[in-house]
Amino acid sequence: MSGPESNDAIVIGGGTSGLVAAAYLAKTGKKVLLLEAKDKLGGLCAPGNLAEGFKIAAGAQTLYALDPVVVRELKLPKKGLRFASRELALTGLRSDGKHVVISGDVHDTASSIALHSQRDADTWPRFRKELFEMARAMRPLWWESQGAFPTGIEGQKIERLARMSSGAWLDSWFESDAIKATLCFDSTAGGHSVLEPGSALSLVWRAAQEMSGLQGAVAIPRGGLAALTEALIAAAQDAGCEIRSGVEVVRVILDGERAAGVQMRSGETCFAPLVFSAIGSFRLFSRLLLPGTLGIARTEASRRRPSVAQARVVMTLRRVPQISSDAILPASRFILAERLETYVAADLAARNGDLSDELPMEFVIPTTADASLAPPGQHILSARVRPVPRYPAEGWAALSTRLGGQVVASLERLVPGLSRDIAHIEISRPDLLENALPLNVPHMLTTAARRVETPIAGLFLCGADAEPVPAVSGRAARIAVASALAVRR
Amino acid sequence: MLLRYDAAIIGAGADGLAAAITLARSGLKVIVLERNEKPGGRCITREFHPGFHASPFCDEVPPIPAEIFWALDLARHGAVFIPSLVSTALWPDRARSIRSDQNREQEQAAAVTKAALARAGADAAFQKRSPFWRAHPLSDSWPGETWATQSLADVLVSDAGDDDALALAMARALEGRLAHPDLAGTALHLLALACSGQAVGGLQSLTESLLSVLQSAGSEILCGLEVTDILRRDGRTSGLRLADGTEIAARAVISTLDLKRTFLSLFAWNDLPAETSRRVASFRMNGSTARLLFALDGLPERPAFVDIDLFAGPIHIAPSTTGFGPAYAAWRGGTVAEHPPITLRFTSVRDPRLCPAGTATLTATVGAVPARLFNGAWTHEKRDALSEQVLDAIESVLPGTGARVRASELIVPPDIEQALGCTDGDLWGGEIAPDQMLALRPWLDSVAPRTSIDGLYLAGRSTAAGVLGTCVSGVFAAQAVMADLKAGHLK
Amino acid sequence: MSNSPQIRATPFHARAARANPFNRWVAHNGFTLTQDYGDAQAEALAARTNVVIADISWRWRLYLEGTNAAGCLSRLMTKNASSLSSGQSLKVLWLNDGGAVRGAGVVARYASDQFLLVSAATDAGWFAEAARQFGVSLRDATEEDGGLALIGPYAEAVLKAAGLEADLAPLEFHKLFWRGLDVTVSRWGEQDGYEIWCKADDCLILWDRLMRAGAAFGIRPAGIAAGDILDIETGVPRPGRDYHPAGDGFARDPTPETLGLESLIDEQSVFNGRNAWLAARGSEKSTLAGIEIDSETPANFVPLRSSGTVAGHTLTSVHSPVLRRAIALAQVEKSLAAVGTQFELTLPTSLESPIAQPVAARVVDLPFVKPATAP
Repeated sequence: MSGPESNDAIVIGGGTSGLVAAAYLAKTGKKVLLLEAKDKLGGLCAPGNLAEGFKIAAGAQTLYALDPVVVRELKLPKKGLRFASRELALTGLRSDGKHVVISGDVHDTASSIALHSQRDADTWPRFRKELFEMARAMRPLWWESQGAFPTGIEGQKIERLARMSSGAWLDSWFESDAIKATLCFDSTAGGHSVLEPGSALSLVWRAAQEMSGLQGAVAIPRGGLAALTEALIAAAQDAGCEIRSGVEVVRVILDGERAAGVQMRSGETCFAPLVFSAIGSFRLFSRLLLPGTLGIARTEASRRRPSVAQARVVMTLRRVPQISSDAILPASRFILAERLETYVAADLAARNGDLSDELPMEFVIPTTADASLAPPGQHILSARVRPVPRYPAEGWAALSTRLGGQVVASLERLVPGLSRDIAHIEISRPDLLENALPLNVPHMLTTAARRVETPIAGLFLCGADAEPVPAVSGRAARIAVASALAVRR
Repeated sequence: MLLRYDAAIIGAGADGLAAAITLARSGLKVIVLERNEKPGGRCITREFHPGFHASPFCDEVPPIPAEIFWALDLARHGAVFIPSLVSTALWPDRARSIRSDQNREQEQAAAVTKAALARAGADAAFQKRSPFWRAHPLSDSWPGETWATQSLADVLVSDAGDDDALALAMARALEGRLAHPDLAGTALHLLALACSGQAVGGLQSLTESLLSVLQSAGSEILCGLEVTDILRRDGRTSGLRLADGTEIAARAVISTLDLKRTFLSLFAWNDLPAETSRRVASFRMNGSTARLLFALDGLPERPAFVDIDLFAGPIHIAPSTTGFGPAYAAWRGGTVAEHPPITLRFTSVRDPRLCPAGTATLTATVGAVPARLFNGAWTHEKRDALSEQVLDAIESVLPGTGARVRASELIVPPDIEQALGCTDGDLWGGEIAPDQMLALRPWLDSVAPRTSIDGLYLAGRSTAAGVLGTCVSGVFAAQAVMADLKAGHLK
Repeated sequence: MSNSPQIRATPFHARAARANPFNRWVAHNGFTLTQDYGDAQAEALAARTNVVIADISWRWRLYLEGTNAAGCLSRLMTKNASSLSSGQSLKVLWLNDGGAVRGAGVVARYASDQFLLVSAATDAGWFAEAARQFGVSLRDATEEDGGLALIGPYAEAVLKAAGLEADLAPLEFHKLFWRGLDVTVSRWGEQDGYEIWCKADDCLILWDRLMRAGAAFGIRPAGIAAGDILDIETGVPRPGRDYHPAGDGFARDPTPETLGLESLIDEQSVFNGRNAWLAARGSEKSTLAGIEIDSETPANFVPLRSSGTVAGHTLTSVHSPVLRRAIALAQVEKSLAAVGTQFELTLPTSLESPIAQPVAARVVDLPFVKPATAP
């Protein structure tokens, strides 16, 4: 099937993962073709079109899981990746004004927790140590293609934690809702309820990440997340990768049960013995391959999509929001959730197709870290709201209006006068944004090499849902390329 | 006065009695202590209206494994179980049934449960200081672990052809329970099914037969006195103190109370190791079962569209795959849902001994009923409202039932707590959740039935074996006591 | 999960009841069927010497319809069903994702977008899932019509005498209009016979016509027990009787190899479970064999010993009226599956022979008995 003009590898999808995969392949001298359906590259980190003069990425709002190996090996700092903020603090905004600020500094954090509970403040250093130790023990499994599950006492702790919900786990450490509710937001990233096993493990996964050399840190690049995309495009192109955007792949061409190439919407075909998919695996298996390719039973299992999702609300502000307290760091990510029960109620309502009265959310004001993201004096507030229903009873068109209103109202309670300063507001509907498969504990604990493979030889997953928890990372792409090349050798 | 025993057992329920029989038969001096005037725990049957009898807390229990049933010689002493052959979901306009011999799901669950019990038995047989149990990895040691990451809906959907069949399967698994079937880990409910069948004459007959075996084995039983403290000397269990101040010396103590009650009511709080008290405190117990007992003038009319023997098995009222979630949400909010899961049993159809000829007894088991309501205690008005709500639900599928009600009695979780001592009225000894089941019940590094306190053993529903079968956790605790005595670990 | 726990009667029930002198009934696939019409041995023998009719309405029949039906079936089935032309059929297996056998049956192509699946056991859930994924519509025709199998060397002669033009090769089928009835005549069975299918309302007419036409050839009805004897003689293991098909989507047992069903797989075809099947291939320790027992007493599910150690077990065992001895399908270790390998087994005890007797048994070629043809 291969002609003289054929490629060594094709990468479907030009998001972070696709660009990382393409750059790695090109670096090894392969002839690589990257195809992106949209006009702009970058996926979640593509530049969004919010309003004239404002820079905000299309989907992601912070970086917390970017693979440091990718940063080093693709020499991203040389391609222009710099951080405006290397470690955002995590601030739980409380209606009583006693905000909880969790930062890398154990003592500052403890004294902030002590406003709510002295016992929890005393517990914090022990909890953080345990979390970070477990996280480090899990790095081989999560970071390397053939990494092993930790043995000994760490392994036992992880096994127990894998069966625990974040709610139960935090309950066993802390008494104050302030600290529990602040920490819990990150545990729901995979669509887990805080009552489900896997949510506690998600917290460990977050803590296992490393940004700019700091364990568990959250960062914002200078120039916004689109700067990461630009650095990756440069890395891929410098290595000799061919990139075509505005080209939608509609089918993966198979030769028996081997991948042989792809067909595009225009009817044009391209052949290569290796195909990497950086698009959602649900879309890959249900649209780009014949039904049943994944196996009847596996397809059936994946058909049961998670019924909860997350929404993103971005607004431009005419002036910097004033949050009335001195303890708040300017560059922080803020969590709005009063209690653990806030998450539970939102999750139960979402599963029932509705919004709860109080919506847990995380927001950042990236312009406080990097003023160049907005016209002088103006600001951006980017909020992530979850859990929200994926299939609302009233339909997303109607619900998104209600969602926007609720988000503004809850922000207004903490930042009085905020609503007057909003110039523009945009709500991303989760049904258009994501296409994730349900996340489960076995997926989080399997080896990276297993996560990237498919039942089809030569076809590899390298996108966000090949990560233990979906995120902007590039790690799965690095591992997928390594696995594919190892197989071919 | 100081009494000396080899082992003292707290609680004369099925598990406590089974433990006592096992120990007494091997020649040990054993005493069983029961707070209530009569032994039996939840396995009792009483006359709730003149001539009408019912087992107030449950009609069926998790089955007694065959080996233990034989070993305890229960059949010869009068314990006979009548299985339900068919379960039905009944809606106002249609019905769906499944015969137990067609039910692959139940067969699979029974096989997994059996294997999990074998694993629990192996744990009990270990001598405490054996390093082996620390070495074995959690993942491959327990059957049923795969269900710890799956939701009930995921597991049941593959077998159910349509929504009605799925709703029936969920209703069977969640009878009287509390769970959102879409959440991961809820599949574990399949391991804890009360499907022993009805005991002839009510569950009291199981207690009677255990007592009869116990008598021949030669153990003492003391009713009507509550154990107030577990006594310790040099860090190990040395005996008990009763409410009247009597002290009983025992080399081993088996508690069949739930985990929280065992540790929180029998020890001074600061007397426990910090790690133990932290874990006991974070153990979740969720009372969620209410029961309604009805004395009926006769059976209601069978709906015209039903062509099976409807009354011979449990009837789940109008279950819906999307109904369990809101019921769960309501429970978390401290209210009773608009449509809580309700299961009916016309107990006298299978066992006519329970009421006068021509009449009928009906029990309703209601799930997702909170122990504590958001607006205060379970007052008379709230009880009446719940009774009415349940009766309305019954009337919607079996019209004319209400007119036949001669008398009824409602039991809500606080009543269960008061009668049986289970924390929050949780009949299952703690939430059925992945971090509280199998090897993790009650928690990871206490290999049940042993606890972190030397000489104190746990039986009953808070242990790994306790939810999987009846009597079995008592037998395992007794076997652990005997193994440790033999190894010289108990002075 | 079935809709109702009630036993169903087949459309031939009225005739079967009249022919069933001892009222011996058996539940099979949810239908009430005749166990035997007096003497199962004689019925099975008649299928070898004369001709029998057997009620096969209990077989699960599922129509798959839609433009994607061919694609769906070729993905599901171990042979490429999309290569069939109308009027042709294939014997196939279907495997789960783990490469284990979920079912076996015949796929027949009625039209470019219409197929019929005939199987001895239902697997509705699995096909419902697959159909949803492929956008194929399903219709369970099991209760719509009835079917009679005509087995024996004079089967063709009976059809001719009844006025049915039956020029069919094995696995072919025709839809015919036969003296006022719409019927389908097929040759899907294992016994080299014919099957005649018609609407449930016409079934009694069908039975009567065939019995009348067959009188000259000594036709008699045969029950389920006789069918089992014929199956075993032909060496066909059946789901539910000889093995449990894979219940869930990911189980690894039973493999086609253990069941001796690999001949029903076309390795070149791309089908569900193929990778798992290929990966597990050759690693199976045991395989299917036919054994003859030096006794007249059948021995269902007993251990087979070879030089003192257990090396397998029998599956269903019957007394073969043709061979006049007990035969059995068996699961034996691969190294011991060669024809002639000797085993020892203990016969089940009974009122007549209360003492356990060890007897010899040996592996023989399958099938035990080849269908006889008319002179």
